Amino acid sequence: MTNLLIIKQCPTPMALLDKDLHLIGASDAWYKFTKAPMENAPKIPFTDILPKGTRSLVNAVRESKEKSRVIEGEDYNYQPEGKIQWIYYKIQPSDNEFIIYLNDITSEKENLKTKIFLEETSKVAQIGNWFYDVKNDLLEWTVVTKKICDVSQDYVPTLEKFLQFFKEGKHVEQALKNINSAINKGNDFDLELQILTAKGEEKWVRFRGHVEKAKDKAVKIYGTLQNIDPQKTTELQLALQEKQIKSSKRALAENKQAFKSIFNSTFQFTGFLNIKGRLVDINEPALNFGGIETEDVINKYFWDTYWWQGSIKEQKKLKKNFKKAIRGEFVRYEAKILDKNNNKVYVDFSLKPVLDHKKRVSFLIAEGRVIQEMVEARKKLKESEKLHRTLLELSPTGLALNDAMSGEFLDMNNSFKQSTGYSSNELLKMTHLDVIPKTDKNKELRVLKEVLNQGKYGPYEGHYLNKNKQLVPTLITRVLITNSTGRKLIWSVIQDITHIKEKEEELLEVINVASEQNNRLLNFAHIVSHNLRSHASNFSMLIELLGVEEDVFKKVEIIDMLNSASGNMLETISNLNEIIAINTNLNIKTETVNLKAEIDEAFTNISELIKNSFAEVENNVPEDIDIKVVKAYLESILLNIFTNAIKYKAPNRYPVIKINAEQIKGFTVLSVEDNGRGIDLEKHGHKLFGMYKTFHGNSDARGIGLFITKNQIDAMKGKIEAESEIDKGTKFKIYFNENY
Amino acid sequence: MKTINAICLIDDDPITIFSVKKLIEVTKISNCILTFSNGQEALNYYQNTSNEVFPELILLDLNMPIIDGWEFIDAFSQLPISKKALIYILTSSINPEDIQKVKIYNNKYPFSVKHLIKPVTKDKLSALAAIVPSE
Repeated sequence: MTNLLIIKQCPTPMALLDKDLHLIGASDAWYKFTKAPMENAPKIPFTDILPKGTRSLVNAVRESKEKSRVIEGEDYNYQPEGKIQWIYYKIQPSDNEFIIYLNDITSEKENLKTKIFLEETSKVAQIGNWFYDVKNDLLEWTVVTKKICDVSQDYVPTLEKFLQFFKEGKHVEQALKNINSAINKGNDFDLELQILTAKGEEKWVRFRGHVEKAKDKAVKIYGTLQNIDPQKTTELQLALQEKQIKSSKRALAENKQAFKSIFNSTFQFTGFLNIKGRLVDINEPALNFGGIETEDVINKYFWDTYWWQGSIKEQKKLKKNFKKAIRGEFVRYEAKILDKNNNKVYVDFSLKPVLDHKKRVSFLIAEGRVIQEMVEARKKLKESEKLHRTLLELSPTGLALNDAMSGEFLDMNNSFKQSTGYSSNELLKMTHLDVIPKTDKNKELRVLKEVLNQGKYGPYEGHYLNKNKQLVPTLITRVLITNSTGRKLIWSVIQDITHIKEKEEELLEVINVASEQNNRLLNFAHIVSHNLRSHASNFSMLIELLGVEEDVFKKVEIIDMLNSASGNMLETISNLNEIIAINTNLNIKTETVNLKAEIDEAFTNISELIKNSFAEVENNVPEDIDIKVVKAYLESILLNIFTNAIKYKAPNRYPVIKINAEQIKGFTVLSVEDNGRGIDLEKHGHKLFGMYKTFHGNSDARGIGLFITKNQIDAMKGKIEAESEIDKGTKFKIYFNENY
Repeated sequence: MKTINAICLIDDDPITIFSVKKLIEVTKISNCILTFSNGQEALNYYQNTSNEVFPELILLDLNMPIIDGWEFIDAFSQLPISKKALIYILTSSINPEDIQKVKIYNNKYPFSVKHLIKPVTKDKLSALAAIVPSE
């Protein structure tokens, strides 16, 4: 029992079991420890008094009995509050009894765990420790610290070396400053700095120091060195990302602002409708247009807003189109909305559905643009088009539209159809060149080129070929236009000038006659002025002389002169009469005569002259040439030319007269060639056929023959030309008009 | 009465030659009258340096064969004597074009070219004598 009491008093948990492992007795400490119920019943199995859940202990007790040896071990159980309780046990068999010792080792266990944890954590978190003994200037590094600094484990650090690990610049400065502050003032520090390891690697580290003081003096510094490079990098990246996010946010904000300002500053009306048709947002131009405020319209059904109150029809139309749009259709139409002055104004209005990612309509964009001016312009255009069409059709001038490249007819007015004799349908199948006569084609191609280059050509005179293949003289202006599709077209203004042309020809005829007569009149005036006056002045001089002459014989001489003068004057008057007769076409009677026969006849009449001058005549005129002439004129002409050929023969040779005839371009050309003296045409050509022009000083030259000849030929609408060379001869070519 | 040493008369009309010559004799403005029936003859005379008399006053008809009055002036202008000449164109024409042409010729050449409208009278010849510088 003594034993039992000792057991009971034992300060540590202790229990005594019998050989059957029943409880003999246990210390109070046991019960306190195990929280087992203290019972006095006999033969309590040992399992009842062990701490709950200690299986390893149970097994150890049985093993100890079987093997009769001391067993030590550890077990644990959970306390009611959930804490783990570590238990050290020792079972000692002695004399068929077993003593069980228990010891609470929870705190030791915890300490150990903490230490392991610390070490493991240090390793995992890469936290190295360091310790500095200020007094002895002794620095110690842990394994991890050495690893962080990439130095071998046998490395011996000093404070100086330690500081050298920090990166140049602010890093080493900060480290030095804080270490000094710690040593001198006892301040703790906690820094994030970069070090350069022995391998040359840059690392971010957290560098902490805690100062232990004695009498306000730093004695020891405990510190850590944690590799925070990964975190730091992450952190930096995070910072960077954040910065990026910030800038994207800012950009987004800017975009939003830009959008908002565009939204509000365009001339276009823009609004957003939700799928119910309520107005969610609207821009300022739209509000200003209606003279209303945001509050007046936001969250209202769009068709109930001010703009649409102009007519119920417009509202219905909007509702109808809204329904279409909400089904995903883009709608656009010309709507009439109210402006702030209650006027209805045309807008180009559209509703555009915006789809979400599931392709459902999420909202609608309503847009409007004022097109009032456009609509009005369109109306005016229509009116003016109608007016133009009417003018086009009523115009007495022909108008035609052709494609500039293909030349096909695209449009034309009545006037043009009438001029050409074709119908619209016929013309629309034709091209420009189909109605241009062959002779004008090259000219037309040049004109078209000019029109394409200059944009316009004309007015110029051209011709169209009508349906009956007759030429229609026209005055044409062509203008190039480019239509809205870029197609090049030519408008032609074609004035039928047939009547004008006819009148013009008549007029020209009249002018010709008039100018010819005018010339003759001038000529005649000259003749009268010069020739008749010269006779008159002769009379005057002779009469004056007669007055002063006293000698009778000389008076007789003067009277003879007067006689001669009067004869000359009569002759001149007779010549003038002849000229007047020719020019006034009196006595005119045309007949067809045989040219060769007339020539022969003329030579017969001057046979005496020919014989006396030993002239030789070659009449090579074919027998079959007949000409229509005034016979008397022809006789006069031939006589004059032939006698001239003999009169003005060369002094040293007998005259030879060669006569030929040919037909050239509507004329029968008679050429009379002599071998006479010839005449310097360069000097005298201009007066060869003039009146009273003589050239050779012959006393019988009167200067009237060729003048009359020319007048007679002119009267028969022919012409006369002369070729001559001094001392070689003269050749006259007389053109008889076959159409006379 | 002032007299002109010599006068040259060029005209193809014998009646004019006769009348003018007679009138000169009557008015006694000159004792020496040379007459030519066309320009060429007169030119031949002036070109012949063996002649002694070269009248500086020339009365010239326009409408003549071979070379007319104008052609005569053109050819005459080439001669050294022409510088002192005083040419009066005898014309019955009252055509303004002819009068104009006289002015052109007067300006064209250094010597004087004037016109004298026919008929020639004693008064006109006397007036002429007063203008012509006598030697």
